[in-house]
Amino acid sequence: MNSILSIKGLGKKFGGVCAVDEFSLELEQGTIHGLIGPNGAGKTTIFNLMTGIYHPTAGTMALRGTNLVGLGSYRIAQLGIGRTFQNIRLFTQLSVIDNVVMASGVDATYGMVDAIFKTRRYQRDEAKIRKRARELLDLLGLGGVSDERAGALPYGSQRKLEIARALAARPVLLLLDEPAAGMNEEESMELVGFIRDVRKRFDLTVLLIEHHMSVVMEICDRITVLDFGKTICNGIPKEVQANRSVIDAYLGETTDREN
Amino acid sequence: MLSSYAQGLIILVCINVIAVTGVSLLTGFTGLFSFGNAGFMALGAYVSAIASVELHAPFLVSLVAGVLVAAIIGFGLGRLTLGLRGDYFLIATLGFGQVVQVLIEFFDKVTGGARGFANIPPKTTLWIAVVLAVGSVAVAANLIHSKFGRNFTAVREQEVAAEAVGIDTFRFKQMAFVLSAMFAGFAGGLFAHYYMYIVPKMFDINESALFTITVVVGGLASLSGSVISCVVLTLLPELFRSLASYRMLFYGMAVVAIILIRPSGLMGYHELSFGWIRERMRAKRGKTASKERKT
Repeated sequence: MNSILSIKGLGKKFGGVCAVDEFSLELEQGTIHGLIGPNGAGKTTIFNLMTGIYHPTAGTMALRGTNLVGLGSYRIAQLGIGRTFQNIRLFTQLSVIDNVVMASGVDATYGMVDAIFKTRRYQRDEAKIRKRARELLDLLGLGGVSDERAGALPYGSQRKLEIARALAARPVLLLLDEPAAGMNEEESMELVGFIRDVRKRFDLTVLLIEHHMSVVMEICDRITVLDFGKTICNGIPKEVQANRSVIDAYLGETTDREN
Repeated sequence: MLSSYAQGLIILVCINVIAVTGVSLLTGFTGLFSFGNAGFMALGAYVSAIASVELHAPFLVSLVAGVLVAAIIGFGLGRLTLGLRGDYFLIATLGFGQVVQVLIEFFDKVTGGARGFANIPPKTTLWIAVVLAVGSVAVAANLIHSKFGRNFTAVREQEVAAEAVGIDTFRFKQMAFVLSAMFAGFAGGLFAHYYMYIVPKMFDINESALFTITVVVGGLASLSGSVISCVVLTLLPELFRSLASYRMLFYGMAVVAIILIRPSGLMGYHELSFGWIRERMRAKRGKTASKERKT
């Protein structure tokens, strides 16, 4: 097994409240892993811990052997963890393509002098960045709206644009926070196909938080279930569906409602 | 040939354009408000003046010395204060502007104190001012159209997202702040070698506020807007000069009017370019056409 991310005994306390407790996770290269649980279970907190927005009060995290605890958000992103946000955080005033170009810092190797004199190196890098941004937008079906203002896009397109922007930074691990939120069944299934496609194309590992059970069960290789900050189950979708405590904590509610 | 009054006005516009270009990078593009940039201008003015008069340094060396001192102080100040939230940062820069003035008055043996520093050689000619102003704007424009400008904009728009795509927001705030200090120091050096006589009061908070107002009126995120507004706001008080004591009143009313009529500034998020003008005209034509169709 080729582990890309290793989290051990991760904990986060806000004052006296334990948001995440003894969370451990091994992600295998190239897999899609689901993180599910009721609202307030600590899923987004785990994303925020992994991306350096919060700092953990206990535990260790490493990406391909590199320690992540205590690093700044930008540094973790540079090391290869990309993410989207549950409450979309686009550069709303800028154009769609500029949102993607903004994230292409890794492809801009030129220095300030190159920028001031628009040297050949600057032109080469910039041309490459624009081209790649256009390719990413086409891939997500946003090629036709690349000059629109990002804030003016419909909700679903904004979620897609966040994924395009995250991909522009060339991550090895992509964290998706409720990518299917606000999508109908058809759009969700389209998203499933798309996530599979990008994983393969960019050789990605994906960790996703999602409430649409159809999406999670369809796409995930493994699933971790959280409740009140604690891991209550970890396994392949079939095991999780069959697990008694999961049904009690989470799935049970959904089934009741659906029936 | 232009009258010396007109020449003086153009030089003053050029000097202000250089200082405002720095503030545009900092406030317009990075979204950090500073009320201390006149402090950096004072540093540039005094350092270059002292270098010219006491050390007999050539003009260019004096200017560079002023820029470097402004950059170093800007770096140190940024390091200490850029971690603060926006409004606290603003207050820190305001304090810095005051401190610079007080220190210049305190070290009166070197600076001449409140009486001022005189006999600076008049080196800032019309052509030097124009060429350097155009050059400064060109440098800033090229920076804006590179990853540096993009990273500044990312900081202004959405810091969390900027960090999430690998942008070290602190580093780019620091960079924008140092750049704005350098532009201010540069403008200060030219200012000193134009007026030949400087006093600390020339670089007070009013001057800092004027730079910020200029950028806001011109439209955040628009360098050309800042430049246009700088030309207008520098010349406006001169136009009302015959009205003597009322001129600042008209000036203030003009600023308020611009802000009320166009809250996003003269240029908003746009840059002045032929493409933009063409687009505007087409949009106008489209509007009138649709109106005609309705009637």
